[in-house]
Amino acid sequence: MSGRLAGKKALIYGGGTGIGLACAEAMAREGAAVFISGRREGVLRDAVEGLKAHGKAGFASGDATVATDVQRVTAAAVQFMGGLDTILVSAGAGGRTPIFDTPVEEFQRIIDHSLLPAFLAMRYGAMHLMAAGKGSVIVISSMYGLVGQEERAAYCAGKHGVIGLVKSAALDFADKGVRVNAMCPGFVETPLSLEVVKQEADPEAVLQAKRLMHAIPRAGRLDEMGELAVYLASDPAAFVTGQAIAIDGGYSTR
Amino acid sequence: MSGILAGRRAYVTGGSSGIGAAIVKVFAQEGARVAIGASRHADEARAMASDLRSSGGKHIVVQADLYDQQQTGRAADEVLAGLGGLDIFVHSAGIDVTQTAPTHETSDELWDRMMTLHLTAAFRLSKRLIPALLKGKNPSIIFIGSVCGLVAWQDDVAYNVAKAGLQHLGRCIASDYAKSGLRANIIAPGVIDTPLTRNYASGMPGGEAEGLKTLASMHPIGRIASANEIAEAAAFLASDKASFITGVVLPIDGGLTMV
Repeated sequence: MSGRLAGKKALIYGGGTGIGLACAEAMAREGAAVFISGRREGVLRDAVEGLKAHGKAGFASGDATVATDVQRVTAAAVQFMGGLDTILVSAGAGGRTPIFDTPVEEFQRIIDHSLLPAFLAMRYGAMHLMAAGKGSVIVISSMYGLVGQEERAAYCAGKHGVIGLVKSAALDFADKGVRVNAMCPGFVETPLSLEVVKQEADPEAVLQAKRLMHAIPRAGRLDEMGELAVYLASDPAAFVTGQAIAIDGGYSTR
Repeated sequence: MSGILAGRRAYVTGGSSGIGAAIVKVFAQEGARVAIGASRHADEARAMASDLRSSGGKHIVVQADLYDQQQTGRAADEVLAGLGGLDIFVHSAGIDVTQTAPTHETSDELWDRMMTLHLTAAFRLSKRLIPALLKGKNPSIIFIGSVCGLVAWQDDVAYNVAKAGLQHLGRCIASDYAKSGLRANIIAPGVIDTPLTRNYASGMPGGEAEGLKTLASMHPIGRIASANEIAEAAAFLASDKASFITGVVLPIDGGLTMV
């Protein structure tokens, strides 16, 4: 099979929907075997049906914030694909968390969902990535991993934290053939982000404002997220490690 | 012939050697028609132009001394006339450290040369080319900066500041034209295996071979990069695949700038 990721074996956390699924699709289209994980088995089952059109695709449900789940999912992915050289983590949680009245439990929940999946995925995937001799880890952070945002204390802290984790892990892996990078998307219209917008008083106005906040005055597209993930996973990016790459239509540039 | 830059017209300054030459080759492979910018090495550029094939038509060579304001303006005019417009502008022309010295020993002449070629030429060319780029197909500008634009490399003040300025120029252009459909991004390479680098290494303790080893050891990945790795990133950033990426400084440095 041809393609820029021919022969790669990719495990995608949060791969059943949204950015994770878009990245899984782009990787599969470029020839990678893909294995997706997420909390909802039905969602994964449906997504894998679509991914199979491109090649080998499998799934296992699990909670990426729970160590035993990540261990089990990692083992299942390795068994299904015959190894593992690429991990993409698109897991997280959002919510309004102003500094004045956010419950501590809510702050902790968002931090856990931002940081633990990336840490656990690398912690338990490490030996397989190193055994492959050439590996790439991609963590989906956010433009709010680069800049602050009002009423998003927990989300910004978590997404900034992910970038620190990525840089440190990149150094741990640097001489072992494994690269680690973060993608920092702007607002992308996904089933989840649109669901959140629908809860606003005037959803259409909020949606339009979210689109227009980027210097390029529109929302990011899922296929654009997939293309950057493919580049970072591919061999031509072999010297790119420890980076947090904005894919935000220039939002964090201004 | 297809490719991710099929049908695009690109101008690459410093296209006759090193990173620029690698960009010219990858762009041509990806289907672009290229104006190869060169000054002293125009013969090499002409040889490249005739060797390379593209779906977009014949490549051209634009010879100009980018230290000179008039020649810089003429180069832009020749590019636009020769390609019939422009979709991609890459400023890769550069000189490496010719004399290492702390700030107070840096000559005004060196400072001026570094600023002119890396930064002022990029500004002058951008000014002339942006009106044409805005009429181009999904246009994009790429500046080749340096890790030296991000960290303060010792005894290299003029180069560092020129590259930092170039990188910020790119971000300013990204901001000015985001709504007009023109993207601008910057690649900040670590040490790349080019003739300039080998020349620099030959002046290091132990000579070229030892010097290259020392340079490699500065990168957490433990090697220096090939010019092709920079060119692949440039092709990605210039293509429609990167349509939501603008104003980004992308280090391709084997982890050098994160330690």
